[in-house]
Amino acid sequence: MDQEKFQEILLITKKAFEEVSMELLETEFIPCQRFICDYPYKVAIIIGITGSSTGRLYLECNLETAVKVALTMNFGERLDEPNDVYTYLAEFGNMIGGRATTYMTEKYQKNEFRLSPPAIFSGKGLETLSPNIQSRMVYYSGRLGRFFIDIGFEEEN
Amino acid sequence: MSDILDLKEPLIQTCEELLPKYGINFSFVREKTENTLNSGEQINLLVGLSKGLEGNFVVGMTRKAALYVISGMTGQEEFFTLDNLARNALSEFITILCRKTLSKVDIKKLVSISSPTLITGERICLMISKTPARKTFFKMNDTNFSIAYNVEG
Repeated sequence: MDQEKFQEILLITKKAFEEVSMELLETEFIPCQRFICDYPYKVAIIIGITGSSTGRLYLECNLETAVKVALTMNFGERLDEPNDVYTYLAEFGNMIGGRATTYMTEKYQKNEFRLSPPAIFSGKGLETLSPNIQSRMVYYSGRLGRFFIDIGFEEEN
Repeated sequence: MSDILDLKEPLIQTCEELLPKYGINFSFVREKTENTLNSGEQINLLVGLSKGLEGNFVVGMTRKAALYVISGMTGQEEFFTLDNLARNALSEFITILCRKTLSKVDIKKLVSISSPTLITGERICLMISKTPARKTFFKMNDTNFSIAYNVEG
């Protein structure tokens, strides 16, 4: 993928994340300096990208932030089940992915980019990597905590 | 998009065709419907599907199972770390497994598969869909692996 297009897609993803955070969580996440994701329990949202370029969208936060996001989405009320944290995070990811796709469709040809449903992973010392992916990262900080977004596409041979 | 696909037989057939080529003995153990949130393995490989089908596909492996796959695919006997070669082999493995499995399903449209992501850690929980996912368990040599999926078409 050419670098200019990649940068545009990164901006679209950022816009989608910032808008959905504001609308859904009433929280402004502001891009911040790179931080080290050394928290023990991480929660990751992974959304596959297909179409003219293949890749994936990755969002990561610590468990505490994930719980705060879920509680906010549940209008501040206690969650019925602990697993609801993941359900809300999946919905959050789905909305960001959906919004990003809408913007991509407006900018590029229809169906040039398609997203798979979000998958949520959490665990102690969670490490993720996508081989042969060229990615761009952005770090966010806000009232509910910090998020790390990484969007990547397969390198062209 | 509404029906959730049953991929048990295509998965077993694919493993029958694929794993012996890598010198891996395997046997099907069982398939069960998991809760929406279920436990992962030490090493997990994820691909997302879109276009003709939508969903996620996760291969979960013990470290030992991953090393069998890597050795089988690369022809190298000993692997101690997940270096670049090993990661590429695992990525290739899930892509082939997924493509071969889907080729055995009667689908009218083309299906696109996303780039694989490798997820490692301890006490991993995963949620690949809002509805319960299916998980197919296999024995592999002296260890085991599983394939969790939720695919709608």
